[in-house]
Amino acid sequence: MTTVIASPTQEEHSRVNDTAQEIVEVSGITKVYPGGTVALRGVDLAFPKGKMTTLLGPSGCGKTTLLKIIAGLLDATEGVVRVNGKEVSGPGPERAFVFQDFALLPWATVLTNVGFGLEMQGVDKATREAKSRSYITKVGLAGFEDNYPHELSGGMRQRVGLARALAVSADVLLMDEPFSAVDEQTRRLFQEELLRLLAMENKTVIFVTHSIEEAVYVSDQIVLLSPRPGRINRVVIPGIERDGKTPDEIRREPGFLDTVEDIWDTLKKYLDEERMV
Amino acid sequence: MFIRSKMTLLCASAALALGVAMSSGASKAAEMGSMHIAFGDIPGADMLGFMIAAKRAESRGVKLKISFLQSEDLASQAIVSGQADIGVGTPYALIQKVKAPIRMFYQLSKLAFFPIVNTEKYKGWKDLDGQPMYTHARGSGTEAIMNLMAMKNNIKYSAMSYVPGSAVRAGAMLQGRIDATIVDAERRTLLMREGKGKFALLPLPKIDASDEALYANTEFMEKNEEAINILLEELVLTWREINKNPGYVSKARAEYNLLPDMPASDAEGIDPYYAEAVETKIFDDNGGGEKAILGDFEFYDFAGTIKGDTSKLTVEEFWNLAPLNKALDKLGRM
Amino acid sequence: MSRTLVDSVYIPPETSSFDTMIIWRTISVLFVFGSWEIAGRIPISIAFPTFFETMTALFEMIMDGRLAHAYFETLKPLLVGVGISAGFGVLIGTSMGLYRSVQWLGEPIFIVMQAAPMAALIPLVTFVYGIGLAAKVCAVVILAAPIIVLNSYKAVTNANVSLIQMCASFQGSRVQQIIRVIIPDASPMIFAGLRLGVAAGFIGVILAELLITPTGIGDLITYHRSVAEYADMYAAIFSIILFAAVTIGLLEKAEIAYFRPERKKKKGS
Repeated sequence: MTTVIASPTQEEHSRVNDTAQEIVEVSGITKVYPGGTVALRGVDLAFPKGKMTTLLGPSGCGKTTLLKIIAGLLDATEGVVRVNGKEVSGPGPERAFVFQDFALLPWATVLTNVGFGLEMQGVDKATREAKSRSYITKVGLAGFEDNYPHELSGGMRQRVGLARALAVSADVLLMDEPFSAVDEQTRRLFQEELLRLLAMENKTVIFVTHSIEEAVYVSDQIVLLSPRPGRINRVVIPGIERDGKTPDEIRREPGFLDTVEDIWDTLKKYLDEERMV
Repeated sequence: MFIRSKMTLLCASAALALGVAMSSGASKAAEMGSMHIAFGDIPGADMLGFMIAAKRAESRGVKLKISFLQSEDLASQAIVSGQADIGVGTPYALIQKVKAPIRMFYQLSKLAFFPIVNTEKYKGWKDLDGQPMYTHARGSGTEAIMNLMAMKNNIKYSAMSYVPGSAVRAGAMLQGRIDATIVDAERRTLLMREGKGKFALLPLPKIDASDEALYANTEFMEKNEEAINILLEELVLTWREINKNPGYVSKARAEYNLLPDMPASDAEGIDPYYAEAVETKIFDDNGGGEKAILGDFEFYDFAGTIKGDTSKLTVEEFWNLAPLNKALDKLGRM
Repeated sequence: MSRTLVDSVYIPPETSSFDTMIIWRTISVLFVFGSWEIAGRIPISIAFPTFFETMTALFEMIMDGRLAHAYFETLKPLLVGVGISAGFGVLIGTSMGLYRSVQWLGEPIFIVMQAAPMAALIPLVTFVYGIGLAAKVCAVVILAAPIIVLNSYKAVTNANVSLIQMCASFQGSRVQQIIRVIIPDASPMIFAGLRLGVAAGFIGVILAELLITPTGIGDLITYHRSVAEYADMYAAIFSIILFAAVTIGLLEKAEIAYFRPERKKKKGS
């Protein structure tokens, strides 16, 4: 069931592209860091609306850099980012970021942290708090509104980060290895919740991870990046039948296992090449 | 008791070198041991008299070493703890209050301070009623003199502020920051000269009290009787010489090469300083003695240095006059 | 989503028996005062009073108003000097952290000031500011300001990059970024600088009172030393040490109460 496309320009991601239009497009993105390190070279990608796309690759492939360029937190050396067809050059209200290290204000309560994005947008306090409370409940933190980040576990902190991103009602969620600082059980639970939440909220998600299983489990499409300088190697669309299956059953699905295996083969080549060098 | 601001640190180091030279110079007196003298001030012209006497004692076999400490308190602590043998100052409080085992034995100089005012603001003592006053430090001789005069003239200062150093107070007078204070003889002359008639001295009755005295640990005095006797004889002779001819100091300075790094401008001040000192009779021909001590009791009681009933105080509590009397018996009294 | 999904809840470590801490702290205090009493009784020096004599002198000084009067004098230059150092220090330090030009302008000055033995310059202050309040304020400022400036500067420079990016990602303006993220994030280090600065200010004011003109606590110290009333002298020294320690402790409390609510809660729980 796995569809493998040699290049994303070959518009045949049947499942993904049937109905979707592309909400985020990047073209010709190159990023050269001061000092000459080329992190990305000539990246062209399209992110379909309402779907979850994972950027996957070995460390140093520039996946986080690409995500931050899309977020407007980093400037690209060359190339453009378009959101809803419009070129953007900085952060915007249609995109919200979820940070790997959570980036919560340690001196602020869960309620204030979740409302931070709204506060920056000038939303009045009452509206802000009402909205924050509703998202705190949605991510399962009801009752923790007045707690401080240091009183929460890693997984709970990332829920705060997620609620903050959801609260600003952005169309696109940019998630930078959101579960990397969380233990494996929590991570799996979290993946479930994320899928459920996204189904409700109808968001487009661009998700960076280095876990193949995670990528295959949550994604509608997986973009495999090659090591430095990062380029697009392949776009993989995992075809997994989820309907009526438990998470464990899904993970035992041949489609799931084949896709994981397939991606692993590709990444292994990079590792071998690296070892040769 | 006053600070010489003009003296350079170079001078201090040279004087320390002198101390070393003194201690190594006297070979024939090795059996007499050595005396370590601690001044509570940086070296200056006013110490030359003592240095000359020390050089003369040295030639008679007394081994001497001089150190210059930051303050009189430090010097007295050094004597009490045995790190130095002979101190310079008037440690009445130290003896009375903590029963320090030290005794004074020679009066180097008497208090000589001069109340001075800016005539544009004040003419006499009465004008100082309700005005601010500036003296050296709380409990100092300068404060005691000014308070004594306030009492005698039935006036009250609005505030007493402490500005350590005659030189500093004289500077403040010249800059017009303050209009009334009390300074030493050297600064009195300076102010009268630089003030171009702006300043005037206020009348002061004769105040008979020690400014600087030599003192030592009682045990040290017993053990070093001979050396102390020689030093005292030379001190009395030098003091008498200075009183006869104040110019002797700069001559002897050249002869013994004392404070060789003193700036020429300061060296020029030596003669006038000693001439003035002699004129104001601050050097006693007989080393002070009993009559000086009774004056001290009265004055230092008023200053608050000595506490309690002064009539019950005895000379023996504070002074050991035996060595001085022995020297005077030999040299004769004047 | 049910609460059962919420993973391990943070449990603050038990304040491992509060009583034990009190016992050890009491022992520490008793040890110091006991050693003092013994040293005074030997005595190690005739100028070193016992703890008991010192406390008696302190009590007398409190009762007859000498101490209150001295603090009234000492606090004037201290408060003005620390006020100036804290206000301008934090402002300058923060600006140095935020703006390159201010950083380049200020960095050499304050680094030299912090490295140099400023206490040695206090007597020179009199050449410029005379012998009054201004000179003492200046002494406090030259000792207190550099450390406050440099701490604020370093605090702002080292503000959490991730939080700043987070703020930017939600389109926070530069002003919002500074007020809502950088300054609160830098505040622990800024406050550490303020505490050190206030401690340095105490050194400055006491040095000024000892070296420029004796007033307040400096006067109590020099006067009682000059008249050999050592118990009173040590009482004055003891009081200023205690006062400085209490002030700095209160500053820490104020910081937690007003800037670090999460630490207040942590301590309270």
